[in-house]
Amino acid sequence: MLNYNNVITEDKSYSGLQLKEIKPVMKLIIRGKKREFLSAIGKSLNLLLPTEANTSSSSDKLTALWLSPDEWMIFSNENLNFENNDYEIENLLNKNISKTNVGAVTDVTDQFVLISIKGDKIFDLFETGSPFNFNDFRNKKGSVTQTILAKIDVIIHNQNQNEVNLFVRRSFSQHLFSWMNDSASRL
Amino acid sequence: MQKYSVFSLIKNALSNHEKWDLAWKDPSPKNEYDVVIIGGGGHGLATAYYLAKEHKITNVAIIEKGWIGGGNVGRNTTIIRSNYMHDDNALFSEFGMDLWRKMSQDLNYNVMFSPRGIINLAHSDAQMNVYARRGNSMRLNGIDAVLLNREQVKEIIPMADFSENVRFPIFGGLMQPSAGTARHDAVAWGYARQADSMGVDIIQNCEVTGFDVSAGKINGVRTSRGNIKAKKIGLCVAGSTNILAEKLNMTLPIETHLLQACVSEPVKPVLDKVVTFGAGHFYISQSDKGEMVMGGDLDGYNSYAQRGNLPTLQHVLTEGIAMMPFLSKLKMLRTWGGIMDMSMDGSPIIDKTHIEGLYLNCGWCYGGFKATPASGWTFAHTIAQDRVHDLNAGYSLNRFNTGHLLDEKGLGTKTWIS
Amino acid sequence: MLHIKCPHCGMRSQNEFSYGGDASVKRPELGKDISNEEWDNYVYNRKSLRGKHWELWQHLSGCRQWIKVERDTATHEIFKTLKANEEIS
Repeated sequence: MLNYNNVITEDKSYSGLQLKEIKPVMKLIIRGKKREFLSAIGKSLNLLLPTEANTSSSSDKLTALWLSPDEWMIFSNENLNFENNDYEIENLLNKNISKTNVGAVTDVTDQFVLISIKGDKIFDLFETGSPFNFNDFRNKKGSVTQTILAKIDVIIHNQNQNEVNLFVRRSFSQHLFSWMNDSASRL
Repeated sequence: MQKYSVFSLIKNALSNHEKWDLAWKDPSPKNEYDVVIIGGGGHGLATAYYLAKEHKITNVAIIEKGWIGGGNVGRNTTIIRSNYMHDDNALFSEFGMDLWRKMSQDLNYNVMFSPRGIINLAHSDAQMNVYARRGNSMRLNGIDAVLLNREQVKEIIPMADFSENVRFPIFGGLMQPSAGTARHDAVAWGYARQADSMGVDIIQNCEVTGFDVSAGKINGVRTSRGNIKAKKIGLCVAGSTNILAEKLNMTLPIETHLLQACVSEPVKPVLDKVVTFGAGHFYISQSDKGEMVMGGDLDGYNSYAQRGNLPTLQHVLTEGIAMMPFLSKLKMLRTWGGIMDMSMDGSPIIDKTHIEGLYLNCGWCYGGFKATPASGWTFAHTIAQDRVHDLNAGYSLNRFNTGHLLDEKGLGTKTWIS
Repeated sequence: MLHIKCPHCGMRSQNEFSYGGDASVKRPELGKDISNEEWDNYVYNRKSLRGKHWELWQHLSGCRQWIKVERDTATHEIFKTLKANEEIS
């Protein structure tokens, strides 16, 4: 049985690598194609969605990741303190986006697990299980990719030098985390 | 033709094996034949053999672009079985099983038929139910089938993963004890040698460049070695079917896809059955040389390349290791690919066409090797009598128009999705 | 291994894609009377060309968009990729 509250129970540390789950963090998938959608998002969040592929944008509170030409993930920069699934920003977007039919908003807070990976061996770790070429990605702060790691679909966000955010679906997260630990211990 | 026997072996040993006759001749094409078979693979060679043997039609040529046995008959994983549920498939392949049992005697050529049994593993209760149903259908058609529980499977193949904590636990399996393997090259060579001895011309390095069709009748074939007249032409070219169909302005319910296989380094005897993984697409047997012979999924995109890519191989072998963990210790010896004529319902086509005198044998997907004798036998009948036999009546070309599909696996029209 | 240039995300490995078949096949227009033959051609019959072949792929583990790829079925060389809504010229 998956543990709903605690998927990954402990932080792990290796030479040049630290892995830990970051929570609670709000995560939303927003989709839309119309021009009104982009402007409504901009007004509601005070954030311009990235339209260039494989990039991200951020404000004080939020980061938006490009996922596909009409799809973005928005997540909160700070850990929130919540006991339920009621988020101010989601409510605002529901009102301005969903209800006005300019796009779609889906809460994926509990669907995706956010794992923060820090250290100078991040990409050595990824290279043991991903077909993606990280050469340009690692040198460009804010870059985003969706690819495969250990046969599992992941979203990877280059947060900063030696610091990435990795999003993985909850049901795969335990397996991926144990795989990453196994791989990290052999680097 | 010189008969192979222990006496001929002794006799030739005395002359240092330097005086054996050639197994078949290398003739130039004549201007005209009664029947031309295009494709010198297993099915083409078997067709020519049965035309001569069963129907006394010996003025026959087999024309082959490369060399005989260089295509899928030399690239398969040698599995022979008849564990089908649908009547058309079951009766056809069980007829073939009889021919396999007699083949070495019939051809005076040791095809090393080894009826060691095949086990399809089940990994859930639902799958056990499906296998029970298939097993019952097989027995109703006179084919041997045994449903095994977990303990029985463990007794037969203890090297499979029976530990508690596996993703796809083995619940049991369906065994066809009379299924097995045969030496694939020997099948091609045995048919070639006998066909040749009865007067069939085996013409290699001869590429078909076009057809002579007039007033809806076939008159002959144009080749890189000249034009050949024939009132009857049989197409037996597996993965190249669409290329020839294009020259006949035909579009067929077939796509050509790539399938890989591989063998490990040889090891001591460990596996005396053919085993298939039920939670994916992987099958394994051990050859007489000790190599583990393995195969699985198609690469999944149209291809004529006869060589595959790594991701599929990796995926297939992951399944293999999940099923039999000891495989992870083995080194890979060879990998290779063949091109499959994937029909849109997963079953073959042996039929006449809208062109009089043109006969079609194709759509074998990845199950062509085991069908070699039955395919040759029924195709020869279809050509000689100009009508299909009961055994291949279900393998009609127009079933795609009438809706009488033979969808054994229930995959629908995208048979390359596995 | 194939490397396919996704028109949205750039050059990616074959592992991220799934195959969708011949891209030149057109579904008969909805609501139009068609013969059985036209329908059979759409559902079953394929040219399965040897050589240049336009085909559909989906960038399943990436942006999940369907794309069109022109690939040689004999050599596996990829010549061109297009977004799904771009016409094959």
